[in-house]
Amino acid sequence: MDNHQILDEDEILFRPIYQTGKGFYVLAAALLTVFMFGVVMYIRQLIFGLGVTGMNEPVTWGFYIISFVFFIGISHAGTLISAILRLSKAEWRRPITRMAEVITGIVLLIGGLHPIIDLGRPDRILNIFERGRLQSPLLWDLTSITAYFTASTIYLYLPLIPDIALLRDRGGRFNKLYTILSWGYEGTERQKHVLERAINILMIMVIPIAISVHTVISWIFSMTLQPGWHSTIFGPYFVVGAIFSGIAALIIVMIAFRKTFHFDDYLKKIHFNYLGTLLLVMSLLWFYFTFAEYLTTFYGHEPPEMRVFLYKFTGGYSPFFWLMVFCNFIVPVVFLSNKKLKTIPGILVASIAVVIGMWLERLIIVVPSLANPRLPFPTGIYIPSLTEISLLAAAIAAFILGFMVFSKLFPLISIWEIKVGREESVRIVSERLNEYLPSKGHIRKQIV
Amino acid sequence: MEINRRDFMKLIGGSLAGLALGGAAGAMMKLPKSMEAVLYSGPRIESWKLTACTKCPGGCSLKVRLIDNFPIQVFGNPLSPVNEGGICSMGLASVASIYHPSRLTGPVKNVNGEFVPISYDEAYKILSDELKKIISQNKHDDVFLVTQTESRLRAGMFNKFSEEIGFKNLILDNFRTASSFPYKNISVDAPDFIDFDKCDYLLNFGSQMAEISNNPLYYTRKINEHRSKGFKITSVQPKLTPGIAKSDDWIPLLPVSFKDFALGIAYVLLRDEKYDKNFTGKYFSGFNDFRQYVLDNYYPDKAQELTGVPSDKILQIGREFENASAPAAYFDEAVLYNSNGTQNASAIIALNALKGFRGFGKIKDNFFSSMLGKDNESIENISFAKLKERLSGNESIQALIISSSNFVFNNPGQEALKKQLSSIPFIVSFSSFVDETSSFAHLIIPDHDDFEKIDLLFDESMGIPAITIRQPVVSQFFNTVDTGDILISLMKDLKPGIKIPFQNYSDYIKQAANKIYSNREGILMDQSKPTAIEKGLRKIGWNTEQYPSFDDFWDSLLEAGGWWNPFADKESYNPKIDFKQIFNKGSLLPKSSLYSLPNNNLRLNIFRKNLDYKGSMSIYPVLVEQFGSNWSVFYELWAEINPDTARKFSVNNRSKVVLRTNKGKFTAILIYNPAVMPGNLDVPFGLGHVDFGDNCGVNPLAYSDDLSDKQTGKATFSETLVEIVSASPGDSPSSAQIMTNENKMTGTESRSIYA
Amino acid sequence: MPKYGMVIDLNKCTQCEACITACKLENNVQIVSKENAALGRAMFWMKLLDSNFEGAYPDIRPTKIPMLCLQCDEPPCTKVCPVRATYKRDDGIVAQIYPQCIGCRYCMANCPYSAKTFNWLKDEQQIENEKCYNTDVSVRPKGVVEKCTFCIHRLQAAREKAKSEHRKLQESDYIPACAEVCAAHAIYFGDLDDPHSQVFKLINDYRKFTLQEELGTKPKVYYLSAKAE
Repeated sequence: MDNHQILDEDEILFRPIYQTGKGFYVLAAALLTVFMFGVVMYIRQLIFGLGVTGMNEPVTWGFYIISFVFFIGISHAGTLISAILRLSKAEWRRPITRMAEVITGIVLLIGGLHPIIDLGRPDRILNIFERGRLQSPLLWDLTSITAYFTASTIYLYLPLIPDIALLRDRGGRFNKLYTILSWGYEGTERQKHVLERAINILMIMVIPIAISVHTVISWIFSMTLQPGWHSTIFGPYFVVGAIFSGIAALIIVMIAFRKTFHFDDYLKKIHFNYLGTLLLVMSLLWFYFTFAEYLTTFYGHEPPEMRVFLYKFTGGYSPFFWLMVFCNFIVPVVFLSNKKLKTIPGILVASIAVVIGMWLERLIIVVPSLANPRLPFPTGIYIPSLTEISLLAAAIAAFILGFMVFSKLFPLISIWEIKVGREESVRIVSERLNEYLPSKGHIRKQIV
Repeated sequence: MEINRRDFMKLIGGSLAGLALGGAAGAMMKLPKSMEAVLYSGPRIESWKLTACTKCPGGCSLKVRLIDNFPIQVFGNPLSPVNEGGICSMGLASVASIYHPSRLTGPVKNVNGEFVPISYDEAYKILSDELKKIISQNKHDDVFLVTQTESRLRAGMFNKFSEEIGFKNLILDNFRTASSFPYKNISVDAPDFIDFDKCDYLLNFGSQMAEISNNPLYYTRKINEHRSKGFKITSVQPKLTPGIAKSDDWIPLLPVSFKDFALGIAYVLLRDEKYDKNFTGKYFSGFNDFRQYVLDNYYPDKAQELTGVPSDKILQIGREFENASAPAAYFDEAVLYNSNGTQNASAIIALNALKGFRGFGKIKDNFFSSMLGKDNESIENISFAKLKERLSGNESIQALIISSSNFVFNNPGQEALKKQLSSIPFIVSFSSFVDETSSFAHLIIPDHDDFEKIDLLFDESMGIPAITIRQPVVSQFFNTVDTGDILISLMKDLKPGIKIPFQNYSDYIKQAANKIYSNREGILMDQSKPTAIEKGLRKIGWNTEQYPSFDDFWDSLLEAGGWWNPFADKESYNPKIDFKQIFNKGSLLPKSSLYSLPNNNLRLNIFRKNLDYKGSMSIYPVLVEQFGSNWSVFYELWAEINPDTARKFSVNNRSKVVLRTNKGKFTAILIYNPAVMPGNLDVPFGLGHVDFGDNCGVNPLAYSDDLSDKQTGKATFSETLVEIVSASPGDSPSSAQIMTNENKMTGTESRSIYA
Repeated sequence: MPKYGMVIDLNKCTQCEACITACKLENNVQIVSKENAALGRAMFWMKLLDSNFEGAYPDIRPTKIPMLCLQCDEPPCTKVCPVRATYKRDDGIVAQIYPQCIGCRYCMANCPYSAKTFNWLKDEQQIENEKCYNTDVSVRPKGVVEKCTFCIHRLQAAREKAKSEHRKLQESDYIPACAEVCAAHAIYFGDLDDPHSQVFKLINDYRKFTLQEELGTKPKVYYLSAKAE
């Protein structure tokens, strides 16, 4: 069984892999039920056709596309936190990167499946490969998501290798799996160097791929002629929104695992403070983009655009629109700029609001433009059916399940990076600081 | 659950499923057994046959596309001068009835509420025994026959039958007879047609000409053709239907005031002394009384008070009418759908008399009567008024014979009607389906489907004789019998020794065709339209039509699809009318209470759509779906309302409203339409079948007041008051307003979002 | 190559809706059930668009435009299809390849005229007698986008007929169902490039306009309408 003789100072990080509480099984069973219900509803959709959803004409896209954009948006958590923070040599990233990268991996899988769920004829999916047209934004989408998925999986795997090696060395369950996956990593100087190089290359590569993914997804909408969609701001707008929702999702995941696995010592208040600040900045940035978008629409006052605009502001969709503004702007600003409210529960509230608000934002982007065609047809009405709601629930359940499975196999916090940080960071950072500070004056002795 | 039994059986049994003529044809069409095999694996050979349509009185010529001898599609015959290749939605959809699963395949008898199939001999025996019994008891007066067939020869057969046997109560109520009734009522012949070559001004009272009329496709072409030549149309109607959207002027007016408007126009002619003094001198007896009556009572301000139309508009229309060289004030049966319908029509006839009926014409020598025998002319047919009177009165009806009529659906007061019908001891129907009326029958002997019948169809609207041939495109599928044949057999049985010159209905038709043959004047429809030279040659007697025998002619006639006489002359129409017959003296109706609506009430204005104007097209799913499609309302009743009125009641566009009349509550979807009279709620007629066809929507006649025209018994369509009980939110006002450049929906400026 | 186009004369059209019925019956377009129609899934390849009210009551006149796929010369729908299931042919018709469509509905989202329709379900007809299907046209399965194709099956039949008779295709050989049944002769169809054809003369009429010209889609269905006389 597990080897308790080697009691690591970071033992608590290994514990989830070796110990499974009853709560885990209960939760897994519940989530599995929800997931299987979603699968059954999907099979029903395959038999009867897309008519089991609430989509109709003119609202031809609904929950599936909304969830698609939403989940791919959350995937930006991984890269931006992981890659950018690594690139900027921020030390406080160390306990966060693993969870961020896992989010990306799982959510890309879920999000990438959603367009297939949305297809009327998924049995003809191979037509995309045989007869695909590269002029279509959907194909750009396919390419970039595949590239991103590949890159981020590798980017998850590479920093995982030393941790797998640690697990392999401890012995115990899945030793065969760990041995294969660890690729013979022993921690030698040369291996460390190679690993460092690989991670550095990938970290730089991943950033443009990630930005391209969500830009390309936004181009699915902005390349059409629909009023409300045909806007040049969509590229950066969606990237900002993605990072925004990604950070929020990351915060929620972190708080959840911190509570469950008692990671309090590793995920300290200061991490949440920094992430909270980032969230606040993204919220303001999001608000800036939204405001710019709607101001130009309103000022131009073109009739088809105004039909969509009024539908969002004062018409049938106004409750959702104002709820979105509340969740995405008011709640984060209130909770995160106020020192008293910027506690961990406060940050959690803000993050949950942001996640809901960003999902609503996708809803506000997709449905009102479709419901208000250019020609004077009557306004469309979209009411999601049980199939769509259950598939959304199944997607969320799959997300949590994926995390739970991962936590049973691999450590959720990058153990070797924590160790490296503890051992070497202080020296590295103080050396770096010395490079910034002016050379005049005494160089005092450093306490190592 | 979405998989129902039929799906399941298809998956399992599936021998004929999903194949043959596309879709899952065999399992769900009703076909004779012998044909099912061909449906499954036939050689798919295409053929074409010509026939004609009786969905409306026009008698358009159709060409039917058959695949393996199954009629699949219907198009208009491009060579026919009646429709020139055009066809309406009703004609296009009509081929589906031959396969309809609810179609009766043979005679059925009502046994304790269920219709049980019986053999034809048995059914015929029941029918003839019953009639013999009635005849022996000398109760001829207690038998009513009702037919609303648009085929004049078939009506003529009913005519002959009633005459020979002695049944006086024949109700022959089709479009043409109803339109002619106001003339018969004042003892004159009805005009045959509007002479478009002469007429330069049309004052249309209530007729939806291009949609629902004696010959809609012909009027469509003529109106389009002549509008570019300065022909003006003014339409006086409560609703701006698509058929009259091409009018130069629309006078929104409730039908109850048509008479007042017509006399208001007459006032202008009389005061300006611009009427046809020659005609009024010769043909209008009591003209001076009439003149005095109008001049005293219908000066423009008074007319404005009675009708609501501004007096300067009345003056304008009056001046246009009097300055036209050959104006026509036109009405058809639609004017009768009001409680004073016949009176309205009488006033319009008087207005025409002031201008000598110059816009009208008669076909030369009464072609159809003289050529085809007087059978085709309706006898003193009585109208539904007499039937309703008898039903609600004390004298009972012994027998009711119904053919091509669903009058229970087309009339208000349905509860009472149904009760009265169930007390009649013997009802026989010749309908092909069990509809609202034939469900009360004790015996149903279904007629052939339209594509299995033979007939000769004609209509006078074109101004020249034109006859289209309806012939069977398939031999009969089931055990149905042509109603004409039944009548002929009955005549022979009930009056032994009778001498009738034809053995069966097909014979009768052939004999009618024989008269055309002996006429030697016209040409077959598949020959080219004559040029002016040919017309001139004809006039001097040059005739190249040669057929060695009648049979030769008959075969060619069937191949050509019809016959017409483009060389025929037209006659002018000079009826002798009598003022005393037109007006009951002193009956100046007060302004109808419909104008001052009590608070919260609106007027329920029922209108007809050309997709289903008799309420008989609900067996065609394509028409039921399309019925409300241009407002994006499907399978539901809708109510059109003027946006200004709607705002007074604070109801939004497309909200679901609950409406209430004296007879009950029903729901509808409210649609904003600026072209609706303020205070009206325009509701379409045609939906609401429960036992017959598609079970959707509401029949507004079931909720309207039981008023009808006293002489003809036609139900009133626009005299019921309705109120809005509750309304759902509907579209928010802002989303409706954005469609306009200004935030108004009253149409005061052109609100186009294109150039 | 001919360039097929259509001209609809709104001054002649009486909105009798025969063209809508004819299109539905010719092309085996599905009739949906009540529940689906209430949801907004009625399938019409040709519709009457309620576009305009001119004048003030009671001189108000509605204009209803028979709307079908306008067969654009620069179709927005073909640009975004990922599998080339909709494409523009050399003769100008924007055609659909039903077996190739994967049902992503991107073309529907990009059409500014809402001309395309989707097979959401395969309904049972309420009364299953509408099985007089036209054998020339395939019945689409569920999950596939469809739209008006100017009755291209008639073009194919006409081409084969002309070939078997060793002659060239004439203008009168091929006409879509809607143009054939119009009683007011308001729908003209033909080769826009042929200077002898009627449509060629009509598109130079002063009354002509196209819908939403400013979008640059270059539709090949023109409308003629003289404004209030």
